[in-house]
Amino acid sequence: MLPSPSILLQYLVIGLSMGLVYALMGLGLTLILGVMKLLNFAHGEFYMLGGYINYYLITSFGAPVYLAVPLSILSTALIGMAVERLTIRPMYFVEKPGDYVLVVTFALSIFFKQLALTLFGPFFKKPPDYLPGILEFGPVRISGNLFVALIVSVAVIFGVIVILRKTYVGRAWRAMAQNVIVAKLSGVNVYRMNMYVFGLSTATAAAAGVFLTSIYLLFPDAGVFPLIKGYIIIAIGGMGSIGGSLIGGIVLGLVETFGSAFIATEYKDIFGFILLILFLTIRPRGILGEKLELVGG
Amino acid sequence: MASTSTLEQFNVFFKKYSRFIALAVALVLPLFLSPRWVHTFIVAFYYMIVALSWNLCAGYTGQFSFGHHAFSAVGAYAAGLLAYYYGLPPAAGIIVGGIAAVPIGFVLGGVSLRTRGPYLALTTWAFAECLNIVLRNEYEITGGTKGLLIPTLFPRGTSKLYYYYVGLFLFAVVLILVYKLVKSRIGLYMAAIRDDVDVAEAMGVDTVKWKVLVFTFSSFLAGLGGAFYAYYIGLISPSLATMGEMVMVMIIVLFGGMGTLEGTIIGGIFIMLISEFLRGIMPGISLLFFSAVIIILIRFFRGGLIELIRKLIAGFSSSPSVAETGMKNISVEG
Repeated sequence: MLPSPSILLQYLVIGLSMGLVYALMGLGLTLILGVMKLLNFAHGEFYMLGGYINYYLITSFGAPVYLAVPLSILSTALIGMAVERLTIRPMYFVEKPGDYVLVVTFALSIFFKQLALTLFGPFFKKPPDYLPGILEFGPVRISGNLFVALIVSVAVIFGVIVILRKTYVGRAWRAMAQNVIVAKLSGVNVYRMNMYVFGLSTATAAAAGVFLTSIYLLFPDAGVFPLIKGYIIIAIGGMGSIGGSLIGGIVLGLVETFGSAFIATEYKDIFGFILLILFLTIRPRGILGEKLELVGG
Repeated sequence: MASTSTLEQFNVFFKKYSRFIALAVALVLPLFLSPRWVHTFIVAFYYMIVALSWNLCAGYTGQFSFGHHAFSAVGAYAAGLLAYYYGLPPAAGIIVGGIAAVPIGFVLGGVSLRTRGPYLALTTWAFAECLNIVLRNEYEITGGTKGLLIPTLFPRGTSKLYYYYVGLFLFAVVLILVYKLVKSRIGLYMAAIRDDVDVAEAMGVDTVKWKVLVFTFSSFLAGLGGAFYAYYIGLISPSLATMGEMVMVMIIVLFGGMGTLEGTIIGGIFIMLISEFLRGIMPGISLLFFSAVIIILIRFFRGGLIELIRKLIAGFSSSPSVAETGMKNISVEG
């Protein structure tokens, strides 16, 4: 039995918008992967951290939303830069850093999760709605929170592309993505640029966290599945390219929405994993298939 | 100089007989311990088996998996569910648990080890999280979050000493298997893959094949450990497949010293004692502590405890021969 076209359209729109929001996670990972050649397993914890800071700014300190959101994104970025400076930068000076950096970010992820569990407790929390109710565009209905998240994620992706194209930092990052040694020779302060890109990446994670937790709620493990989705996205789309993370995000969003609508809702998070296994079997380099020299390779 | 020579004699004696001394201590020790500490050691055997299998991948072959605890959870669930629903005798169940993890290890490894890059870490980690979700959701079969009470290896209420000796036996078997593997020709392939994949390939090592086979074998060992653990505690629950378990496995290997077998044993005992001690202070703090320790260890003491001990031994006895053999051991094994 095929459902009516309007319902299909509805799923399509939801899937597309979820995909664009997921692409935000993929974007942050892509930035770090492309510039620092590093797979960051703690990325989801910055999503969680951004969500918690935003939540406590609003509920405990009574900050208005337009103040709380930028503040929480900014402070998460600062925490991210501090983390990079303290735990990841020293790793560049040891021999064969590749896999050890992975273990460091993995340990960071557990550390932050456990810290959140100790500080904030295991309970589900929900920040206030950014746009209460449901919006209707003709036959398509979309929840206000998802709509806001969609707008923000499109804006952030656009902003990151502008930074990459138009600023000195962005040019330095692109140079580093192509060849770190040549970038270094051309006078780029590679270590500082690494710290900045880590900050920008955690800021995108925090932006996703601030807006998505109004839909998916907030708890210490909240960052785990956004991160898995981020990785699935970059593995599908092709590691290290922004276009790839956009395409991967949209594919994943559509697969998840249709899968949970027609197969099983409680396994929404599993479909992505099956997709990942499929892609690794059939086309390991992803759709865009950019070849990238990765750490740990 | 008399004292140095006795120390040297002691060194030689210790080198020759250390494994028998260790075995004797392991056999006699539980008779003098309270049940609580015997329990700690039984749990330590489980973690050490999984840690050995992780060490085989990460330490000896250089392939980092972030989901080894998921393989032991697969082993535990396969063994536990078969015993619960079909009355499989637990003794056979331990082997079945190991075998159950094999196809999963083979598929995950086969899919993600073909391409270079951190795909293995990514895939195993995603698998572990997904397994956790499946175990929670299929509550009609698995009992969901609260888990399932399964038959134990010995009737309930039997002394823990029996489990201790079974655990010791299993651990010894796994240790010997891993030792034989590492010392064999395959062990040389593994070291070559870890040290330089390109050179290994140039020398004619089929790197993908050996990576996948070693990974599959290590998932078998992890499944074995998981099944033993399930039959000991008599409960299977999704908490077996949480990332905290992986941290325990990692810290054991990293603390003791990666790519050494002695390190895993020493690390296992130390970490389990520390963990038991921390539990007394504040439950839940051990993970926070251990994840911070992992970062510090990787930054400053990548050789782990075993390298520290070797340096101490080499430093105490000023004879260069011991120092040299110590260095040789490090270069061969780690």
